Amino acid sequence: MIIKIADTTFNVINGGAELEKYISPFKCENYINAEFKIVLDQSQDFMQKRSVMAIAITEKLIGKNVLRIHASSICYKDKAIMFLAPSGTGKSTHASLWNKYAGAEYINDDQPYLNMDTLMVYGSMVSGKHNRFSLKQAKLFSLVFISQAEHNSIKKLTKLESVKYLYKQMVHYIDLSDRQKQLECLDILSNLPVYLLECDVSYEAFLTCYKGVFNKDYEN
Amino acid sequence: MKIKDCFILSDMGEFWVVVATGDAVEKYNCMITLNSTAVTLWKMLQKGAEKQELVDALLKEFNVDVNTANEHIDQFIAKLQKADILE
Repeated sequence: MIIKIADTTFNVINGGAELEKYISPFKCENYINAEFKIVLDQSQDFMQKRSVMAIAITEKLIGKNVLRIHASSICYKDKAIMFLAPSGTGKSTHASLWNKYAGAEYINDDQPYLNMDTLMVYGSMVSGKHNRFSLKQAKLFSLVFISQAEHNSIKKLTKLESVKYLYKQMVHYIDLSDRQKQLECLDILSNLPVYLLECDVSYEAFLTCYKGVFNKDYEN
Repeated sequence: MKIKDCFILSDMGEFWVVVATGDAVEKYNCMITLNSTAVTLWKMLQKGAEKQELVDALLKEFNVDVNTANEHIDQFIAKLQKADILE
């Protein structure tokens, strides 16, 4: 089956019925050739095949300067926003507020791909425990670090603060062993608007984030 | 004095950052940010330099007096030594 992830086609061979069903949202009809071929081991079970396939896709995409980021990414009015936080902090929960209150669509709730040349954010079927993803793609507009709090406040980080936050979390967020490339990514991402959102789980948390990111109040 | 070879320096526009590479990543799992004065010293120490050369460079490139330059250099070298960054 040929699938398209991040504008790149992959021919997944020996996937089996269960895996083919899993990747089918990204199926390309009418394609005969793909850029990359991923040949799976028929004797492996679904979970093993899925893991091998995900690693292969990520590796091939790194070669095209497309990186997998550990973040929850939504699309709101054709703009991609990425929520970043260590696992369990509530990036998915905050993304769900944008979905609930503003109708934002999930690009990928856990592991979107980011093209470092174009800053386009793409989904894939590998999307964490809630299985929230779509075929939506959008240009990265801003990055928001989430920190749990009993109040809601947002602040725009300076470039120096952004670099420090991004670096501290990079080990969790970006699959890269090449340090030089890691620093290039750090430079590119820290030139975007980066925010620190201290928040609870409420409508007010969404309103605070919206106001910070778009510099205006949310109008329903 | 010379900085160990396992670090790379990268220009972030407003400042510079340094990280370790290769096997040294585990030992130096941190990022160092440098301002323009510090990066001047860092670049010289990457090649290897004596204190007097560092003082001369700061006096030449920045509007500082000898005492201030000495003070900055001593503080910077002390930090590098504490972090085990010098050979």
